[in-house]
Amino acid sequence: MVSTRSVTGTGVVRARRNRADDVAGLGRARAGVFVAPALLMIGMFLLFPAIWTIYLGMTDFRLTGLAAAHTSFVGLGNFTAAFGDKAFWNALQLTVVFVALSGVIGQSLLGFSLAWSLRRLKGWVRTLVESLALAAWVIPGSVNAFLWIALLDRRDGTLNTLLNTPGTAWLISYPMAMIVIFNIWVGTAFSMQLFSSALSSVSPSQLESAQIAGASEFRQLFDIVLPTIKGHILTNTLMITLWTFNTFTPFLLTAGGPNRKTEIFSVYIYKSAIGSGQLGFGAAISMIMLLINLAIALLYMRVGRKR
Amino acid sequence: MTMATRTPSRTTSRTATRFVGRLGFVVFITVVSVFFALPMVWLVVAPFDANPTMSVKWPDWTLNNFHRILENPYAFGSIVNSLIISVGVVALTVILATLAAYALSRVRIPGRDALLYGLLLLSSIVTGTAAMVPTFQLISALGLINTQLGVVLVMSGGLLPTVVFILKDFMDSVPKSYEESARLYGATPFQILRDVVVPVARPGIAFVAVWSVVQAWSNFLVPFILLRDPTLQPAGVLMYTFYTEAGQADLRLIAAFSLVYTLPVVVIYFLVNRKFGFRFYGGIKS
Amino acid sequence: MSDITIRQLVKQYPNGVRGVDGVDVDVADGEFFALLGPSGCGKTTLLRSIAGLESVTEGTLHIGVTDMTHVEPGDRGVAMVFQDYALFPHMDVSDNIAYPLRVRRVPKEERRATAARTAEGLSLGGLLDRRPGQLSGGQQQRVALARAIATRPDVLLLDEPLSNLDARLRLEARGFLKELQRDLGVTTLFVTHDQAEAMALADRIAVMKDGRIQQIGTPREVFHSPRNTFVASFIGSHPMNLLPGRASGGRVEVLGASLPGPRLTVDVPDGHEVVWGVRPEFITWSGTATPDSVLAEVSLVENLGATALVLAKAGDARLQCVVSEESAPEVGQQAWFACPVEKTLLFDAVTTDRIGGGE
Repeated sequence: MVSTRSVTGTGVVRARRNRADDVAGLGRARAGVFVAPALLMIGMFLLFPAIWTIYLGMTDFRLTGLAAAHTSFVGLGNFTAAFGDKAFWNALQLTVVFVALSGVIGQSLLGFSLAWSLRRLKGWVRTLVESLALAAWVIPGSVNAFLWIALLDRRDGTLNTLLNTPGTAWLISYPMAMIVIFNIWVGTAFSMQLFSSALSSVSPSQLESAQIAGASEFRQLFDIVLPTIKGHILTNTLMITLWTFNTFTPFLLTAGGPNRKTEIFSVYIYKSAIGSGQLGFGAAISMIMLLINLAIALLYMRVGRKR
Repeated sequence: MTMATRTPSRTTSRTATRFVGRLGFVVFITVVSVFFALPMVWLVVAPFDANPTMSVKWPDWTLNNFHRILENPYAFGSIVNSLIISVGVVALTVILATLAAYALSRVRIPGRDALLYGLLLLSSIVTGTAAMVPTFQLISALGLINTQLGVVLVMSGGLLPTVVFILKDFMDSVPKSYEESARLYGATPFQILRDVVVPVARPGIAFVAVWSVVQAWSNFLVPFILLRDPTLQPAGVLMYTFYTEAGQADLRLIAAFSLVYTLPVVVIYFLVNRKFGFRFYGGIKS
Repeated sequence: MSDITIRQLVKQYPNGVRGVDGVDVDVADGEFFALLGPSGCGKTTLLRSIAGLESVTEGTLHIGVTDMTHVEPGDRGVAMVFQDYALFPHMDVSDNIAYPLRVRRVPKEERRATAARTAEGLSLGGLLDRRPGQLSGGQQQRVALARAIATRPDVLLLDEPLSNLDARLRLEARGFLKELQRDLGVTTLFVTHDQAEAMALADRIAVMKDGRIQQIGTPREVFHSPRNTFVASFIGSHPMNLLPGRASGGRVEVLGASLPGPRLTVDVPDGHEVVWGVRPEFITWSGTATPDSVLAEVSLVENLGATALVLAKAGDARLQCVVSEESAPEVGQQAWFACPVEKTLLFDAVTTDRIGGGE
């Protein structure tokens, strides 16, 4: 809310705040009409599905077979099925590892390191590195997945050529490691930008004060920079977690295999619901995912507000 | 005791630390740059190679691979589909969002700020992945499965909260004096919006339009689950089928197609980055 | 001994611009020294070069007997207070003050004790647990000072120390700063664009312009004997009257009149173009003609409280004069303005340097 003071002809100072000023004479009714279509779209295609999934999760709806015609209410049956499903726990466990390694550690650390290293550079080096990272983020997922499939190919892959490890089928032998690294590759630009803007909020005169007091760059980092951007680090990490948890692209790389070894939650949902047509069951686990998303988002808002 | 007594030796060790630090920095930056560049190199050389393999090699220069796009029954069509879907999404999103953002910016609706943050929260939680099942259900129920309209509607619904939020911000900074004078001339609010506000807010609208295009063009999941017919699928999904369908992957086609599919988005992104310095609004890209 | 010796210091930026262009300065041990000049004159660059925050392109810097030209900022025995104080918001006052000691690995108990002692000395006693955000502007400044002096530096640098304070506070802080420096006896350099501040605080002032030093002298010296027209017009609450004239037989033709020239140690040839200068504060006026005075029409009278600023026009030339408020002339009045010859200065019209002699 920006406050601007305007002095009228008689010298009276009137404070004009930049809040809603119905200058076009819309009126509440018409404003409602203007907002309605957008809200309708959001309501129908975003809100409704989220809520409907609660109901759906309690039915045994399937695309084909008996239940397709005769859907019955199964209460919490899907949820118990889920908790009893080994694949569910497998997916959850893999996802925790995936998010922790690729998101919280991988992207955050690499993103921060890049933001910190490049913070004083202004020339072509910085532009080059940032552009490369950004390109990885921007290239569409299906293309990215194929680029990595090509890189990791057992016969002709460039990685095998470079490391002199001919015949290694990376995606088969080290699948989790591969999707973790792949996801770090894709997502680092995101965290790099987040941390870059956080770092620019640190006052240079504080760093110089520390420098004059004799603090080395490392000391400046730990004594001043990190405490100052503590809030940013937390919110950034939560954002990265949310994004990493929800990303579907690893499916394009390994399709959850081999043998469910990379079946992270997003892939698990796809396979259970759309893959095998158990929509009721799929809805139940989708609901669990929505709840996890909700938890992360609420945590984010709480931390963000404290800042 | 003054501070300067230990000066000379400390400076020498400092200079040594400085050198090692600088060396480490160069190594780090080089390794990271190679890390990012390596997978992308194939995308730059293979499309122009008459005999591409999975490896990165000096190409046998040719432009013939791009013809294969036209030869494949679905390839060119999928690019058109991507265009149709993207344009549809942008049109729908921008129009609805402009109306809503304007109203929200100008009229004091109770609970407005809560609504906006609620919308943002909603779009962060209900991601493409989390909502894929109910979305599939809903679109089936509406009979829009396997239609591009269904895809456009779902994508628009997902993008709208963020776009409304951004546009409202822009609208807030549009000076109100233009509208006041238009009103004095007797213009209706809709006319004011169309003739006065939109032209002034054009940079903001352009920004969200571009952002929406990029999101729609690159989106994989929504068309993947909603479209079965290969003649309707956009490029991203078709690309996936190229390397997962049974049989030998036609690398010439894949390489050329990837480049054609990727280039528009990369170019737009970097152009906008130059102009606006791209910020990640919620940044959730599925 | 922590005197400062600077020889031919140059700071050149990659684009070729010289922020500091060949500067020689000697600051005596314990002196309160001002770097004064308009924005962009290089005073802050020079200060930062002494601190070590800017690298030196050419020239040398000695603190005491040690060559500090390329020494790390933390190793020079120099402390600095920034214009925005740069207090660490996540540390309390005590930790802020003790920070330089912490970097030097002084044990915790000793650090706290030193911080408390320093704080006491600056009347910050009860505030040790507060965060910078909870302090007033004046208190923040004193914490920044405390942090700077806690390590007993050889040299203290202040970057526009008073500019962040409001006008009332500024006068108080001036006196406080002067006393503090005198009690500590530490060699202090401060940067300011406010000539009144420099005149009030400094033992000696270096007036700078475009990266070069124009003059170094005591406040009295720069006020009464400015080296060139730039210094003459920059120093003084009211800018000196500087008008083009011509030397003629020991007198000066200026303002359409012939006025007595000051006694000089050099001869000025007749017809030589000069710039004639007298401060507004030294000019008096009279309603009747007096010998060696200039006739001019009063065009403006500004009330300054106890005094009034009179602007008068003689032909195309303008003359400013400061008189007591009660004896101010009327606008439109024709008056005779007397400029005492002992306060008259002559500058060369081409080089702008003061023509030698005078006071």
